[in-house]
Amino acid sequence: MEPKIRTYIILGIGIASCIAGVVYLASEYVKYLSEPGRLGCLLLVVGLFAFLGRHFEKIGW
Amino acid sequence: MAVKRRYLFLYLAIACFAGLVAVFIVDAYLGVYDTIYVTTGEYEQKIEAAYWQQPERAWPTQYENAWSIGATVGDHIPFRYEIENHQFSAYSTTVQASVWKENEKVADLFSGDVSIGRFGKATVTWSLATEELPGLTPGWPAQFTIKINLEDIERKIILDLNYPEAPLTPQPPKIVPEPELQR
Repeated sequence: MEPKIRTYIILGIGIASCIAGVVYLASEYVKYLSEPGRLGCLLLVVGLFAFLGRHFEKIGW
Repeated sequence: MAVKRRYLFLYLAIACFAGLVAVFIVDAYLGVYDTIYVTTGEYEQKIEAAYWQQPERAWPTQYENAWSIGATVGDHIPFRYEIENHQFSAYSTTVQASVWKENEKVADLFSGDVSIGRFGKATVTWSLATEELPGLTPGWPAQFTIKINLEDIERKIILDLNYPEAPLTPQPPKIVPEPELQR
């Protein structure tokens, strides 16, 4: 296996683990969020995806 | 500068993610959280602090500001009250538990001071002897409210009390004659 591919696989596993960890913590604590907190999170998630989309568009993906 | 502009939206996305984490930490983790464990029959029920924040989303939906439990007169109901202090400072408070009926206190269950260190936990327990509650009419169901007070927090549990049913008298077994064998 090429070292570059191995690096990508390890990177992919790392990213997937990070996302799984964040999703698990979010599901544990989301029930304790207040209504303004929920609204704030919604806006931030929308912003997060919008900016990510714009970034990938800009770099030519 | 061009490099900075190239990654501007990525930085903004990272800022949004950091904001999300900050909201979760400040709004959903930091603070004082209490959990009530109550056992009726053989079932332990867990009432988390989240229930009181969003009671309309929890079961039973008809009790928006209270939890409901059922018991039989004669039961001893054990309570376990856990207080978690998710703060950078110590937390001291007085815990009071009492039984109310028609807005009048009828019994004290527990009263005591609790001091919890930063990011610590404390547990207090008490028990309710249902047959000792005043105002019970034998054979008739009754309702009481159990109030748990913690400084500015008040938790309400509605207690539905019923009398045990009379034991069934065993009936003698019926002897059914066997049908005659036809030859």
